[in-house]
Parts: sequence; C-alpha cells; structure tokens
Amino acid sequence: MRFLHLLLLSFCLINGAFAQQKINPNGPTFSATGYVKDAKTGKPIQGANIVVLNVSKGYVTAKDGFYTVQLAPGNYILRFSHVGYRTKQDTISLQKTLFREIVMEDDSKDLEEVVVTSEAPDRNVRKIEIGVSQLTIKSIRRIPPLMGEVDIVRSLLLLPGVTTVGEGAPGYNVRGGSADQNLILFDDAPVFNSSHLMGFFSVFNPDVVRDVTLNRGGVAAAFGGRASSVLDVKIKEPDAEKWSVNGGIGIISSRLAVEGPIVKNKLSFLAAARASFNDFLFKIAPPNLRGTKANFYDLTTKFKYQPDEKNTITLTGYVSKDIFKLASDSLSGQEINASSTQFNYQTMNAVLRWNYFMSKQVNLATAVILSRYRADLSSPDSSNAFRLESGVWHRQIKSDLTLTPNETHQWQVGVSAIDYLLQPNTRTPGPYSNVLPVDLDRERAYELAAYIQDEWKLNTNVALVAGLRYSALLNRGPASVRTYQENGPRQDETVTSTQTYGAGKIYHSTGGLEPRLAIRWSVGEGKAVKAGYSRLRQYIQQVTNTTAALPTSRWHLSDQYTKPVIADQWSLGYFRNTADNAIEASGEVYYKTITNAIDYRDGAELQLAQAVETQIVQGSGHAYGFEGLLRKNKGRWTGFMSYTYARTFLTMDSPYASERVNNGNPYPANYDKPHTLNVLATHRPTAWFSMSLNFTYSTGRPTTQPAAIARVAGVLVPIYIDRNQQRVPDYHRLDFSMTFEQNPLKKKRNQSSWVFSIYNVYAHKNAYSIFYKLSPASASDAYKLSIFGTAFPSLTYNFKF
Amino acid sequence: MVLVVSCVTEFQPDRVSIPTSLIVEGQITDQAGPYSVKLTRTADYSYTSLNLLETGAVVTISDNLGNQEVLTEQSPGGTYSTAANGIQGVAGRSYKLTIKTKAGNQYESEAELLQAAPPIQKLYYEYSVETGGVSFAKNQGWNVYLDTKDPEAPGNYYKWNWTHYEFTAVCSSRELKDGTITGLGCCSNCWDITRCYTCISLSSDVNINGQAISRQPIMRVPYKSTSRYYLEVQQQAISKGAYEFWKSVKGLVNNTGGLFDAAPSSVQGNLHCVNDPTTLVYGFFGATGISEQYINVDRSDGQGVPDVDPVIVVPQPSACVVCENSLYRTPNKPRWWQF
Repeated sequence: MRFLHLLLLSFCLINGAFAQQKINPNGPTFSATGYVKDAKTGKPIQGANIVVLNVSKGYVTAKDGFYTVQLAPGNYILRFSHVGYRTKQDTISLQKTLFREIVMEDDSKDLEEVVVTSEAPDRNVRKIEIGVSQLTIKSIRRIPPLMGEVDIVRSLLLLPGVTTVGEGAPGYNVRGGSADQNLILFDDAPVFNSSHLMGFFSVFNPDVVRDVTLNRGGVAAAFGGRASSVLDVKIKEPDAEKWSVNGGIGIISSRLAVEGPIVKNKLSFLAAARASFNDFLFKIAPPNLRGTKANFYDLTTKFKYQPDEKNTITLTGYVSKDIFKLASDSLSGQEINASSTQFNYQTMNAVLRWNYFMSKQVNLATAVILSRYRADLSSPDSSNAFRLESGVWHRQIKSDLTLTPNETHQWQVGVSAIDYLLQPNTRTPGPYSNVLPVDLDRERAYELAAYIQDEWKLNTNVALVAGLRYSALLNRGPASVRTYQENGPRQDETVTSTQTYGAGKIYHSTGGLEPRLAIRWSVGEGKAVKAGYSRLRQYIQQVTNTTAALPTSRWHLSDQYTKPVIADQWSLGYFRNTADNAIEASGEVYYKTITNAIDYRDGAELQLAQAVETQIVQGSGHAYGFEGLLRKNKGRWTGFMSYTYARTFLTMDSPYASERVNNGNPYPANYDKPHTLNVLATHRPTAWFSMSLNFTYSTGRPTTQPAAIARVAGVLVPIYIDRNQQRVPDYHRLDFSMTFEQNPLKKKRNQSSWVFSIYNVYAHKNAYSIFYKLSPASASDAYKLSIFGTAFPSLTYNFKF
Repeated sequence: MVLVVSCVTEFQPDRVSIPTSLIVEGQITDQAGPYSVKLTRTADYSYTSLNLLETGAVVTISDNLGNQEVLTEQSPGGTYSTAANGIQGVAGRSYKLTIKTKAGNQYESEAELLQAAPPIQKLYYEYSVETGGVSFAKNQGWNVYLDTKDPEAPGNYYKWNWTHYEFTAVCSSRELKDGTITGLGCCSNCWDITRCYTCISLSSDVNINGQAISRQPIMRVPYKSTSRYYLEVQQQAISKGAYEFWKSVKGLVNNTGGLFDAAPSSVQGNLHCVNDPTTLVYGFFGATGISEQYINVDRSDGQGVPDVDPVIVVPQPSACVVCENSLYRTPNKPRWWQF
C-alpha cells in the first residue's frame, strides 16, 4: 500500500510540474499550484473553491484535485472551501512558482453524520416515515463504550422507545414489544441471536458496519415477519480503489479488517474478524469463577462485483460463534446433575444479492438469503453427559422492483418466500450416559409474502407512503398434531387424539393483510407533522419463561394452536428543525395493540415440552407512549437528549385457571419501563481529540415480590401471588469517553487512535435483579444484585493503514 | 449469570401483605407410623415473621378402601398425629387428608397413590477439596453419592433426605463470659441429629426412565473430625404432584430473580378449600414409599488438622442431663449404628 501511495504521489509531482509550465504564457505572473486532498483518506477533492481574498478571484479544483492560481508577485491569502470540509486559509508569498499541497479536514466532526451518509440535513422533517432512526457508525463510535467495545445494540438503547430488561441482557424491546419481535437484518439476513457473551455485546463488528436504521413506527411494506421493529444493519461496500487494513486491540476483543480491490473498480473484497481473548479475566477471578470460560469470534466477508454500470452483485458471508462455560448447572434448566454447563451458539449467514439498474426509472434487486442459528448446551460428566441442540434454518429468496415513473410517484413491488426449518431441542446422551435421548419434532413452514407500495408526493407540502403487504404461513409435514378436549385447558392429560401428516403435506395455513401508511405534511419551513399506521404479523416466536431469553431458548412457529402475533400501531408526530438544521426537535405519540401476545404459564417448562401450546398462553396487549428528542448537530458541542414515556400491559385470560395469568387481569410486561431519559454530549475542540458524556436514567423493570412466607417441612417457602406487580429500583448511570486521534494534518497514511472510557463513572450499584432470601445469619430478606456495580475504565487502541 | 464485577447488597423493598392462609404439611408412608400433620398460617414475607400454629382443627386421613383415622392434636398444638397402632400406609392404596378448622373451613387434599420405592443400590463417597463460600478457603470433604435403578414403568419421582447421627456425651452446654463452653454430661447414650431441610434433592425418571440413576449427589461430609461419619439416606418414591410441588419449592428457594432464572410462580400444592374455592391453602399431603440405606464415611484420609467444633468442658463431678428425644437429639440407638 505504501508503495502504491508513493507511486501515486510521484505521478502527481510530475503532472504538477507539467501543468505549471503550460500556464505561464508571458508577463510578470507566477503560479501557485498544487493538489487539494482529503486529510484522512488522501483522496483528491474535485470542485473545491479557491478564493484569493486580496483580489477576489475565484478558482475551482479539477477532477484530480489540481489547482492553478496565476497572480502577480506579492503576498496573498487563499481560501479553500468545499461542502463537507472545513474551510482552510493558506497565506503565500508568491515570488516564484509555488507548489502547495492542501489537505482539508472533513467537517463531520462539526456537522452531524447525516452529511456523511449523503443524506440531507433536513431529513428529519423531509422524510415521510415516522418512528425511524438512523445511526451511522461514526456517531455510534462517539458513545462511550462498555469495556471499550463499540456496540450497535447498546447504542440503540439511547434512542427513544428502545429499552432493555437489564444491563447486559440479550436483545432489546421496542415500543412494548418483546425481544423476539425485532427483525434484525445484517445485510438482509435475519439474525436470531444478536448477542455475544450471553448479552453483554452485540454480534456486529463495528469495523464493517456502514449504518444502522431502526424502524419502530413506520415500517415499510418491504419488511415483515416481526411485530415490533426492523433493525437494518448495513455492511459497508468494500473499497474498490485501494487496499486498507484496520483493527484494534481492546480488553474484551481485538479486531482486524482488510478491504480493497481484487480487480480495480470491478471486484472488491472486505473481510473483518473479531475475537475475544478474555479468558484471562476469569483466571485472575475468584476461584469459584475460574472454571468459567467465555469466548467469541465473528468473521464478516463481502465481495462486490460490478461488471458494468447496470449490474452489481454482492456476496456477504457472516459467521459468529460463542462459547460460554459455567462451573455449575445454574442455567441449564435441565433436571440432570452436572458439574458444569457449556453453551455454544453460532450464526452463519450468507446473502447473494443482485442489483439490476435497468434505467433511471426501473431498478430490480434480488437476493438469496441463508441464515442458520444453532445453539447447544452440554454437560461433560460421563454418566450424566448430554448435549441439547437446537437450531433455526431460514432460507429465503426475495425480489424487489422499484419503479419511478415520474417525480411524484415511486412504486415498489416485491415478493418473498422463506423456508423455515426449526429444530426444537434434541437431547443426545454421551457414550456412557444414563440420560435418555429426546428428539422433539422438527417444525417446518413456508412464509410467503408479496407487497406493493407507493411513495406519492401529492404537492410540495404533503407526501405519503402507502403500502399493502400480504403474508401467509404454510405449515408442512412431517408433523403430528394433537387434538385436545373441547372444554378444558390444553395439557398433556387432555389430548384426545394425534393426527400425523406426511412429508410435504400442508396441514395448516394462516395469513392476512398488513396495511402500512405514513403521511408527512410540511406546515412550514423546517416544520412537519407526520402520522402513521402499520400492521405487522409475526409467525415465528421465541418462547421463554425467563426475563431475558437464553441462547438456547426455543423458537416456535405459529400453528393451529399458536396464533400469529399481530401488532397494530398508530403514531403521530411533530418534527421541527431550526438554526439551519443545527437543532432538531421532535415529539411522537403512539398507541399499539398486540393481538395474540404470548406469555408463559405459571411453572411452564418450555425446553423439552413436546407441545408448546401446553406451556404458553396467548392474550392481548396494548402499549402507548410519548417520545421526545432534542438534538444539536453542529458546532464543537453536539449531542442529544431523549425522553420516553412508555407503558405496556398484557392480558392473558381464559376460562381455565391454568391458562390465566394474574387471574385474567392486565399486568405490566417484563419490559414495561415508564420513564427513560438519555443524554449524550460530545465536545470536539480539535480534529484529533474528542470527549463524550452519556447519562441514562430509566424506571426499574417490573418484578414479582413474595407476598407471604410459609414454612413447609422446615423450608421457608416464599409465596407469590401476581406477576410483575413490583419494580426493581430505578436505573441511572453516567459514562465518559475520550478519543485521541492523530493529527490528520501531520500523518496521512497510518492512522491510530486511543479510546479511553469509563463506564458507570459514579459507580452506582444498579439493580440487575432483586432476589429474596431469608437467612438467620442476616437481618435482611431482600438483596440486590448489581452486575456492573463499579466504575469500569477501559482503553482501546485502533489503527488503520 | 455471575461475572467478576457483580456484587450483592441488601435491599429494602416495599412490603406487600395478604390475608393469612392455611399451610398444611404431612405425609403417610409405607413405614410404621405414627404419622403427623402440621397446620400453620402464612405470615408476611420478612425475616421477623412467625408462622402461627393452627389449633383445634379436626384432621382425618382416609384411604380408598374406606379406612380412616382422626388424628389427635399434640401439645402445644398445631401438630396432629395418628395413634402408634393406628393407620399404616400400604403401597398401591391412595390416601386423602381432610381438615375442618376451628373457623369452620373445610379443606381436602387430592387422593395420593402410595408407590413403593426401589431399593438404594449403592451409597458411596469420594474425597475432594473444593473452594467456595465467601472466603474462598479450600475446603476438604467427602461427597456422598447414590445409585439406584428406576423401575421400567414411567412416572417415577424421587426425593432424597439424609440424617446424620453423632454420638454425644454432652447433653447441655452454655457459653461462659470468657468464651469457653461448659456443659453437662448425658444420663444415657445420646446422639445428636443433623438434617438439612433446605437441601431439596429431587429427580424424576422423565429423562432416565428404566435406567440407572447414578451419582445422585446426597450431601457433603465436612472434615470436622477424623472419626467415621454415620449417615442414613432415605429414598422416597413420591407422586408427580409432590414432585412438582417440591420442585417449585426448590426453584423458589434457589431463585435469585436473575434475568435467566425462571420467573417465580405461586406454589399451591394438592389441597383446596371445599366450602370456598377462593380461599387459598398451601402445602402438600403426600403418600410416600420409602427405602433406606446407611453409610459410614471414613474420614481418616483427611489432610491436616480437622476443623473441629469448640471443645465443651464438662466439669467433674457434675450432674447429668436426660437425653430427650427430639428433632435434634435421641437416646435411641440409630438403626445401623455399629460402634
């Protein structure tokens, strides 16, 4: 790379010298010439304006960034400016021909990243959709990281309407939806478990992420299959011009990424790996934790092939694997004696995408998507050894056609077909084990969908996106389906018959329409009112009776007993940009109903239940809330403040006591956290130093507290009455980070940066959980477990060359 | 989920209160009686709460052949026992408990089928050094395991209890101001009894039907002496309902309320109120098959000095104290006592 760079530079010098001679016909003038380049990437900047301040003469740089200014001898000030760059002044004393290379700094440090993502700064008020947030990887890097790990999912928690059941819990909750109701797409492939290390970090390598879009309100008709939100994580396009390597070393994981052209401007490639080497943390831990093993790695690759201007083919590959071993069986949920439990889980995704740009009016995008998630749980003790395996296979083909016949309409139509194969838990005993094998029936289905959408600009002020999606689930054999007594709860004892279906036989189908609508009405300069309605249907659910899902938690398809989850959402918002889009403010309200919401029965056992319908209940839910956001995008200080008020209630009623929760009365969902406040402030006094502060506050999540105590056979038994009637204490935390980058003016090629951060600056012992225990040795009966009960400093080194 | 950085602190939650409900505990077994049933009342969840006794109730055990016995209340009340020559449990019959309280409420248990327990095939122990506890000190001990064979038919549920007897020469003790302990000798042979009530050890044959249950951990023998440790182990065959009840109890006792813990649910048991279905009642009346075995754990291979209890000085000559038969002490020689 360095070799290439030198070549390029020397070529420029020759070219410059030649140019200088050409433009000097006669007379007492000299030339000031040179190249204008990007400080970070070294790319030439075309079309930069050069103004000679003393004489008010203007020039523009050529395609290769070259400029020539012809002036009489004397002293001058040249001002260089270009959109997206900081204006720069250069004082020259022109007594002979001068060659000056000018490097310009990207002004993304001042401006908000919307500029970098080539989006208009007034996107907030111009876009039609409501409830959509976009984060670029640059803005995510500003957020003080936990243990130095830049984390996509953790950064989402700063957005209004996004919450988690606990610090370090896997998944997140959006506007009253459970964690499995979020469709997480990594370059179009669904991710079934977005967490590394049981939930502390997310599976997306920040080095390859281009941007992240969370749709929590106006989900476009092109998306479907989950009831709450769509998180679209896009991998960046490999650089087709030059090779580069970057990476980082942190206390949790280390990263290395390489990208560049295989055939310049035709075929390019990107590969990024990340692995944790944190076992040493447990080796220095207290002895009872020394058996703990926690490691992960992930590898992302992307090929991009552009045979001509009309066709682009990309191939994305992703592998991630986690090993988590605990020196006890505390989490296994299996009634088997074990000295240790090991979780293994892995995701493998592949996406082949062909984009055919037929004309300015027509674009066709087709993708073949494979996604596989496998999790297993094992115990090594020979006589009781077992391995519990489960998996989800998702194979999809989809095609989207975009038609832009004129300025006012943009039509989009598409079809999608998914083939699901779910392997619920299969237990295999070890060679000398007494454990019985269990093989639960596989679940198979096709999920089909078709949609049409029109983005219609009615007039300069009003625009709308109207879409209609039809989706259906076709369950197919082989399968055996139970019939239960008509008047009784669904349980193993009330099965009247079992019907078996052969391979390929469609034995059940369900489906329905999903209308989507978003309207934007611009009520004035920088002011917009938006409204939206959407219906989302979900056919694949994760069923669990724990507050946060384990990697091995069971996925289950809708069938004749488990009805699809349907969410209807209405939202209304007001958006305002002022001070040349430097200040953004918005307020949104929403109301949502959830039909066929799922919860578990009291005492449910889900892992090895032959029939999930005997362990879960379905009912209704409703959620409502307000989300307010104030953001400053420009200046040395940038940041935002968001406040969310959100409530979620579920009602599980049934004629049978065993299928009721809290006697059929509404109760707050596990993730019902009424108040959330997030503040992020970044100060960037120079191009090579920045610091950020992040404060977060939220109401504690609901928990169930014992109402009474009984003593049975010498054992003190807590008695619980109703689910989720109390709350853990409120959560609050302050984080801090500092980033030292090299001065981009001094060194152009090899860049490195240091990130120092402190998580939980004032060491607040936030409650991860509250538990109750009566012990004669202690005068307390309730305890609080804090996971990050102290300030957590970390240091990360990043490099790029 | 435990991580290096986690910490546990005391917490004061807001109190919740509910009306008190009846708690029932008791069982009939296929071993000789008398059997007892204890009735108490729920109390607020607090370490200072007391579970009051339910006195003056009429308690009856009946079987499916029409045999029945009304239990007599023992002083100081709350505990009701069968007569020494009264009803005895027989495998294959089912048993039911009915209660009429002083307040006039009638409670009834479900009919519980008594199943015989398979014999304990093997009791054995292994020496190990483990670390744990608050101080993370190394701790020597002997893990006692049990092997048994599950019957071919499915639907077997097990619970294990252990009882340790230790010969004692001191029947009364008190601590003096200087920290030494003084005591009085026993007037007869006497054994101290140690049990663990909160160690609920359960298994079902759902995962291992018809096969051996092996290396079922029973308890860990502490290195408090180099003498042999006498241990009786009881293997109970319980009903599915009893298994589920105890499993819920165990789950609740061990639940740390973590994100990955199963959410707590109410434990009801197998009783209900006949005259008012909305009246809650907790507890379990079981019909249990029992098989027993003993083991003497040889502790002579322990390393170093055992972690002995403080020495009790018995001044000579002094009066003796009667060895009272109770939950904690007995003058009766244990069943398999050899030395």
